[in-house]
Amino acid sequence: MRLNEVSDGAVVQVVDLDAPDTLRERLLGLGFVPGQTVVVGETAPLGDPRVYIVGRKVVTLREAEARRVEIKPADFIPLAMANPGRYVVVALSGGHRFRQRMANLGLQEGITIEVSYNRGAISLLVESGGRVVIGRGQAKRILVKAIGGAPR
Amino acid sequence: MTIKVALMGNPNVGKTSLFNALTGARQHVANWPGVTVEKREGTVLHKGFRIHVVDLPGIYTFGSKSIDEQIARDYILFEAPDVVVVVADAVNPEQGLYLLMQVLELRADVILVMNAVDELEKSGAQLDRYELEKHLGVHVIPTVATKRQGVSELLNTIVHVFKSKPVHLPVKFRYDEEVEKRINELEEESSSKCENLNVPTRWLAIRLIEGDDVVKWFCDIPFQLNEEEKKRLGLLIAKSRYDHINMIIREAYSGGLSSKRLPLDEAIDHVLTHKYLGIPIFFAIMYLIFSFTFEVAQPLADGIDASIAYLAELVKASLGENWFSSLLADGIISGVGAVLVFTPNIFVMFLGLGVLEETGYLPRAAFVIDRVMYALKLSGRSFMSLILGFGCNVPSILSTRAISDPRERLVTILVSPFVTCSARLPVYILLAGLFFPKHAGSMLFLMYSASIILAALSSVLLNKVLFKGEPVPLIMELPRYRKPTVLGLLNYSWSKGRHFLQKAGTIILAASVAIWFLGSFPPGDIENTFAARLGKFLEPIFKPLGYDWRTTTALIFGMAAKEIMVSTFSTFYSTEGVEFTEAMRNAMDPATALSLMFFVLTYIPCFATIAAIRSETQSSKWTAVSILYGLVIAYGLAYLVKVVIGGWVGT
Repeated sequence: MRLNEVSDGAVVQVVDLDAPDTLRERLLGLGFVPGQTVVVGETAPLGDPRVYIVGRKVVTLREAEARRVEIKPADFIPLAMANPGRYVVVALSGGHRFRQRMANLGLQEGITIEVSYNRGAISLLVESGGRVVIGRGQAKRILVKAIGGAPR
Repeated sequence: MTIKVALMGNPNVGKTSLFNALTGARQHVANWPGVTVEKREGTVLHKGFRIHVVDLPGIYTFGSKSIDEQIARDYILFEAPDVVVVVADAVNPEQGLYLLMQVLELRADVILVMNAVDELEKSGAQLDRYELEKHLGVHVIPTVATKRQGVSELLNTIVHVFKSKPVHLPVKFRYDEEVEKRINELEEESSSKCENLNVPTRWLAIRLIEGDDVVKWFCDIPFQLNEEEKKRLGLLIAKSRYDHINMIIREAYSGGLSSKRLPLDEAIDHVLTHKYLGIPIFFAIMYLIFSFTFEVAQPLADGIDASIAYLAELVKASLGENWFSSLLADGIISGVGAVLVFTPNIFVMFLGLGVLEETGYLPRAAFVIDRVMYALKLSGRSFMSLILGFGCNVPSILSTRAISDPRERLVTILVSPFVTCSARLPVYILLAGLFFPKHAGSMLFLMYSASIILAALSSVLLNKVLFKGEPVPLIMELPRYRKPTVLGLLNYSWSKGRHFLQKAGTIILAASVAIWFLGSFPPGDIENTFAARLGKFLEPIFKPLGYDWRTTTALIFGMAAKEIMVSTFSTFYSTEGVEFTEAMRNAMDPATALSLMFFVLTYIPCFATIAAIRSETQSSKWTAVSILYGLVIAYGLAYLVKVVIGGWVGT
């Protein structure tokens, strides 16, 4: 799969670069190395280019350049894209306050959650047994990893 | 004693702020020889040493793939700076450390600056500089360039590194077995192939694998490396570097560096690059910059204009009417005035542009509008510059300094005279009002549309001819939003604006005096001046377009400034008892008038613009290309309009 083929918000992992010398070295210098996780950001109003988040760097690529990056879906996805199932929270990307708020809900790195449904807002069960509903905006900032197992 | 220091780093890491903090106002802005890339140099005295700092273009890799990279690499290789300072962003250190690792393969006398440590601490993370020093084998200085924090320590360290060199060999990072094996082979090969090699063979071998053509400077015999091998080993090298960097970061950072982006940045980006709001916001900001440049600064410009006119009157009144007072008043004082009158607009424009650049909006603007410019083989970065041209081409050309790609910058500079500036408006209004009284508005609209189409077509054409139609790449970073500092803004507009005054000022002044001379000699009858004679001499050339010598002379004066054409028309067409407008109506038909409007749109914009092109491209060749291109298009287009419209009206 190529980086230009995935939709906004996807989390992917770089597999290979199929680019001429010139472009390859530039992409490598920006952090597009095999194994690197890339979060796909928003597309520009006119449909091209698009924002990609590599580590903490925010980089823009046109479709022509993104096409050169071979990718696979990452192990981690934002909670906002999670289908019902069991997940481990991998990262909370936000400031101190966001993390605090999530901790109050029982959401911390390393805990297991179970998504019951995802229709814009996401309803999930946390380890301690409580049911939590999270808005899409916040769910975008929570990275989770699927661990299999059918929902209870 | 002088210490030559090269400042390197990724774009947007605060390298320029650090440069300003190091050198203060003692800096010099010019271009690197032969290219439209800005070169900043400055000197600071410290502990009895003259520290001469050169700010290299911001780059991500120490390679040769872009002109920026070539400039930086060639400077480090061939200008032999005594100390290299690599600036990295403390909050986003990976890519900066990547560049550092590439530099460390070449030389060891490097200092690493970790800038913006205050932002890092605000995010709750800490950086252990000694841990970094241990891993990288270089001095590490944490700084906050905008607050001058760490600057004196950096200066001390520069002196220290200069005095104590050579200390040790470059730190050797080991790559995968396969890569190391190939590096060894290439190293052996190079010792036989290359004579008097004064760079580390290991560095050369790695550069070879990474596909750098630098090797041709050192070795006569080519190496055998196929594309597939370069790609595979190149990826392995990059991967090992990042693995190593990530390891170092884990060791040297404590606290929350794992948190991704700042939520506030994300929120602002969401609005500024929004699907529906992004473009309206972009145009609103463009409008603000535009009105800031041309309206807020206008009273100042008018004030200067009025003072110059008053001064000229004063000189004439006190010296009497003679050629000397005329030279002084109409030639020199007006010439200086012609330069000065631009200053408020230019400094205000750079102030506005500085705010956009320092806050980090500029790359967002380019991102939002890029699709449009991509169709013209440019990128979103040139849009802003071209829009400014509707006010005046001079600030438009100067603002291309914010465009990082030199090819794109050159094309933008060459295209920008076609954007019809406000000085051409009085000529359009006069001609449209006289010859198309019922459709004057539509005619103005036609001129503005033609201007946009011409600029667009020209940029595609120039790109095709000059650069084989390759689109300018747009791989850019959206930096964190920052609060601009007053000092930073003043520095930005002063250093860039001053450059115009120095370089363009002399050309404008000389041209103004020349035009004064042509228009005033020999004294007496205006129809007998050199300008009028020149107009008569050139009349045959313009015969096919239907322009008489009066119009031709007006076009000559129009090279000084377009608005002068209106007064030239009134001077030359006025006769006893007949309004000049009436005389003009008799002298031209509407088709000729329309063709004249097109001619005015496209031929030499004005001396100030020519001077700006000359000072920004630093090339007489490109200046000549711009002038000739404009003239050819003007003549061709005017002729076409004359024939087509003339024929159409005739039938």
